[in-house]
Amino acid sequence: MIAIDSKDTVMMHTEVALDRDALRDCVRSTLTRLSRTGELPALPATATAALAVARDPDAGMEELCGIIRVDVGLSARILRVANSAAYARRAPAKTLKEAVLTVGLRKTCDLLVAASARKLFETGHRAEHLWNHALAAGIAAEELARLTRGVEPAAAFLPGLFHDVGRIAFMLADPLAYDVIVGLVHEGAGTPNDLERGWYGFDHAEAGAILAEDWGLAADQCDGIRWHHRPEEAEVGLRLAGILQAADALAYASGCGLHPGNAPVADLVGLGIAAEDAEACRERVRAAFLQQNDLLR
Amino acid sequence: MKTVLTVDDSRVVRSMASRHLQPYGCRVLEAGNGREGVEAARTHEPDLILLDVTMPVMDGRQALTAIRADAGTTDIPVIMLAPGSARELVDEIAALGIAGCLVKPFEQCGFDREVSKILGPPASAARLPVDQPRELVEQVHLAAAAVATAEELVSALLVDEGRCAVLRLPDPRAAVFTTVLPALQRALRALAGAGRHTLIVDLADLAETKADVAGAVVGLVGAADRAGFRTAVCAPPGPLAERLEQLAQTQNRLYASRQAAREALQ
Repeated sequence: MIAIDSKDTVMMHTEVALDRDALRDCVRSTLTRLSRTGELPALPATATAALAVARDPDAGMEELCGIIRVDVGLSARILRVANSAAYARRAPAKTLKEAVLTVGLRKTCDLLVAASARKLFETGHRAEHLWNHALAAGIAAEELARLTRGVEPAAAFLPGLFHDVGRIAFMLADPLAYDVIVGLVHEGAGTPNDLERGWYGFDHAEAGAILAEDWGLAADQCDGIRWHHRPEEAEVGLRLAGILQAADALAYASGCGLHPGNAPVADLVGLGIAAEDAEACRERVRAAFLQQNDLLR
Repeated sequence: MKTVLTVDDSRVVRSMASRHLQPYGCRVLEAGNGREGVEAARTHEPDLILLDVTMPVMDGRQALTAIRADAGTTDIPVIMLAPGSARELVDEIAALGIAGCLVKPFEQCGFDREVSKILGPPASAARLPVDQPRELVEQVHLAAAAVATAEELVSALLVDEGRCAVLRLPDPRAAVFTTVLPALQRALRALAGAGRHTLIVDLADLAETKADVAGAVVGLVGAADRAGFRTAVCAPPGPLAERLEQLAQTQNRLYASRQAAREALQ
């Protein structure tokens, strides 16, 4: 069992302590050792390219369209999104450029990452639940960031989408243990995070943050993912971690995902959202999820 | 019947150890900390103790010291269970006399390597290949969760055809897959030991051809890869075959018939 002693040090019983770098090495080596491919889960090339565009302030329309054009399916999806009711165009977008202009550069990058990263969520018998939860949490994080103004909304979607990607890594590398942990949570033997730490030495939030680092997400986004179950421990991603914690709960409350135990309850009031707005927020997340999930198929 | 005592404060570790011990057909006892472990060792005198290094109440080093100090338990082989970060501690503890060390999280292959030194090979390891009683194949559908039959199921489904082995899989759903995977891995290793290194995963009798079982098939191919097999999958045309084609792990390995798969493996 691991007890978190400080932000930088993970203490284990009998004086075993890991600093952040050592823990990072431990996560990578453990997942690699268990993985049947001998590698950590990787983002598809399109998602990696879209993330690079999102990070590069000098990148623009041409670079993004160049990424999309090589994949006919993605081009069609972006056009569908641009021509959907959400963007209320008077005339349908006919070219990729028009579509990207309609959706916006940053949002197009988000959609590209989500559409191509979906492949990651397609292995295993819980794949559909995990994907639904990831997408709904991404949407919820963006919505909560917009409402609370604590974080730039455009920077909240991807951490929401990837907040539980550590679970995917566990499921891919170690499906038997994943099932055992889910079973024990059902029996009331502990929380998923505690049980994960008992087996791996770290939980899915830590694993997800390290994968997000490898994939090029910003430091505050990775920190938000790392601490989305304990936002008070976060540093550079303090506000985002709080938003992700609420987005995680909001996604479950919206019926997206299947929590192995008692699903967490979203404390929207604690985030500064008025109680009367909370239900409307849930409804918007649910509606946006249904729409985007359909468009990303 | 041999007895194994697992001492670890993590329920997951104890559960995983029990799962991995199933093919050994032994009685498994559990304790949640060092003190309970020492008491259980004195009471039951097990044939093997799996002992966690880092535990509350009494840690692995203290527990091992107590076990070695008691005349009734001093000779019981102990395999330490260590987190990846505690290898130095294991080196220290080794001076007290241990039979081996397993780094957590452990997988079946590494577990077998250490545990079989004490318990001998798992009871099912020498039972391949066997006939294919149809009723056992049917049980795959009926008893996905019946872990006790996993060895029999694998024995029934995996056939050594000489130049290659054929795994007929009527239901590769993940629930079935995770149930039979450890048994399958052992069976594949036994076949590899007998000089077989090519495997056809035959999905022709698949009860369900939906694309959502593709993940389990890919996992299965991965298990065969790890056991050192060249693997070909043959699946009838349909959503599953289309999905498998999309998955990079199975590229160039998917064939429409067993004959085509066999030729590809020549």
